[in-house]
Amino acid sequence: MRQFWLMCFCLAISHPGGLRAEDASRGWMERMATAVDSSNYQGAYIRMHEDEMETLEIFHRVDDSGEVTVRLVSLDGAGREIVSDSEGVKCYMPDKKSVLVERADPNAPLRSHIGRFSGQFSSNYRVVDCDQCKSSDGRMGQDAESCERCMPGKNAEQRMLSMDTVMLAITPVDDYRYGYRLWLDRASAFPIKTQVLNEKGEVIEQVRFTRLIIGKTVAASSVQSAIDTSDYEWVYSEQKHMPETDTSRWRAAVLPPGFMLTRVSHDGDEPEAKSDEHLVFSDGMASVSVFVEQGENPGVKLGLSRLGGANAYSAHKGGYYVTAMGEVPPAAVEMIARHMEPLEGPQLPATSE
Amino acid sequence: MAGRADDWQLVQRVQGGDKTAFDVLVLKYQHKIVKLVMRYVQDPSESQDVAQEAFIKAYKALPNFRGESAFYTWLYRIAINTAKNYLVARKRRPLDYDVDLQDPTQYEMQARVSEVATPEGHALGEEVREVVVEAVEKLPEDLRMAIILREIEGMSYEEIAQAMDCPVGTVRSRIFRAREAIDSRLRPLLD
Amino acid sequence: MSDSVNKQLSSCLDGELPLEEAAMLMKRLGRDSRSRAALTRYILMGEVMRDGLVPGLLNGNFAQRVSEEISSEEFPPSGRSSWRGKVQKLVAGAGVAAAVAAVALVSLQTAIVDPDQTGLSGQGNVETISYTVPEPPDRLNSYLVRHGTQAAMARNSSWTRVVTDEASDAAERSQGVPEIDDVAPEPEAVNAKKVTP
Repeated sequence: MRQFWLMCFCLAISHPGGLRAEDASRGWMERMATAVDSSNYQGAYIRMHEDEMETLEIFHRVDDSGEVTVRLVSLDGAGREIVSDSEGVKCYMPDKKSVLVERADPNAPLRSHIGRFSGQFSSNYRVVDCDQCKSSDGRMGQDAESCERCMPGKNAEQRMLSMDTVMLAITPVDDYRYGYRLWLDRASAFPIKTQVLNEKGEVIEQVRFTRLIIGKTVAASSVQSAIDTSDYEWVYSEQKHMPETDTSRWRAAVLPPGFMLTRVSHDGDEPEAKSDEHLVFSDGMASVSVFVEQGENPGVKLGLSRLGGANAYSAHKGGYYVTAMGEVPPAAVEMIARHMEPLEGPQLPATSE
Repeated sequence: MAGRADDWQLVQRVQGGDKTAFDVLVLKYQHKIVKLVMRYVQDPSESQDVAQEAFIKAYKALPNFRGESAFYTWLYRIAINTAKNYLVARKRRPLDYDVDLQDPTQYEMQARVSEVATPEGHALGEEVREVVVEAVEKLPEDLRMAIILREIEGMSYEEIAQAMDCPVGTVRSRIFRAREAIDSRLRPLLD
Repeated sequence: MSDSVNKQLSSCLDGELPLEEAAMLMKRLGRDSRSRAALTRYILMGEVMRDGLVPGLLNGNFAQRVSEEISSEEFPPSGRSSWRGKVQKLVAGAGVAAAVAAVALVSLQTAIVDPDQTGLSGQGNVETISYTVPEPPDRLNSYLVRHGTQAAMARNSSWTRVVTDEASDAAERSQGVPEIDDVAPEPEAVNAKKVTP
């Protein structure tokens, strides 16, 4: 009887019947996306995965015209930096004495898209505001403890950095996507701490701010790299961004449930010519990029590559190299990569020749 | 979260007859255990009595503790059982918890204690909280990061040294200076 | 009270005090109430930071009451092995009156303890793994940058992976498959596991 009562309670807050709670949680998600995309902020954070940890700094500057400049700095190792502005993305790699440059794509999304795909998101994830997870008599404890979506030990985190936080638990509906736990600053909805969980509920990656200033103007000098690149090699991506189009020359014959194509960009001078492609699939929360490149191996390692809370799977398919990459479990990127096929010409078998 | 070696060495001291080592464990976990008991017993004063009983039971059972689980995990279960037994003895229906947690130290939930029910020390508790939080906020960045990684993330000095890319001795020094800075504001409140 | 003593207290609390310093500190804790008070405040700070403070415990009586209760208890029960007697002698000389004196013992080595009692024996040897490190996959870095550009939600995390050189780590962990054996399973065979909300 107790289990039945508990299940009813959990269903009530997660099913469409519990729509109000779900809407409130999604509201937090949308506010979070806005805070990350549109606020001025700077801080230091630690990323932990496997048995490694790295310390980074981030400067996120929004100027009066709304233009966003971001600078990420690794405080460990070689001190790599990424600077993104209206011209594109520059990745400074002192360990390689090179700068990798990706030109700006005028059609690239500026804002996170949880709001736009809220219906899609709701189909693939359940969101719980753990502050709302109470028993009917108002006490916390059993329900939060037993509810697999709620974060254990959360109250220890609610005063992080002297910020009052809201904790959200995002549970995937299947094993083709990861779960998340988010601690959002109640005032700004900025994520102070984020955990990525695998299908077993294990934390596989964690990002946590140890210093954070939100809302104050970020100095223009803070988003400029201070690395002396006088003897660096500058490597420019061959990618030329074509007008946004939904006419991809490739399709995914099989996709994990809930994923749909959201963006396509081609490389090359002529849209009609065969060219490399970059497709983006999303389930409303996670995104998977698929890179299709013709010709010689562009330098990818075939098979699975694990990237902390992300994975990549590369396959060779009849003269093309296909790489699917995203913040999803290995099974998802592998499924997508293996089942990419051209729309025209003979269909390529899943096995390469 | 203190590593197992910390508590385990204390437990070994207690098993060797050193009762003051147990006093240390009580100091270390009194807040957690009282909070845990309050989820069942509610009344703060009764909760302290029940928590005291839990600690005494743990002390008596320590010769049987083999270190196969973390000490706090073991103590946690003793506290829950003691609280449930207390409720039964008082003819109150125990909350039907049947939580089987692999690591209950990760599943602590803070009891929402009503202000009316906890007059004692409440005002002082708020003051202490404000003083410590403000003091942490005002720490220089390197000291704040070090104390946060130690107290909240439970990282060892070695792990913090790796994260902050500095020697272990520097970590030791930073954590100490952070505590001293906070203590300079806290001590006048408690003396 | 000197800074050096407080620094030892701080390290002791974290279980990081060397053995040779622990013995001296324990003696001091046995006779110096200010040291005990300082240690108690250090513990208190941590509880506040973890939001674990119980205001009713601030008067310090709880730990004292427990200490008084157990002081009348005999410990350990009879029949224990003789090594415990040795430990008791060691401890008795240190002055066992203070409530927190033995916190210094956190740092003690386990050499004096029967390893069979610790549960720590049999930890085994660390296996050494050797592997071949392939060429750094710059292509993955390029993909990560472009993925972050196109997938706004993934921007910060994707770029973080570039600056932390996750791609090189991935190359070390990569499970490569031979090209000729790249066989995809039948779509019907792939079933997503539904998680009931």
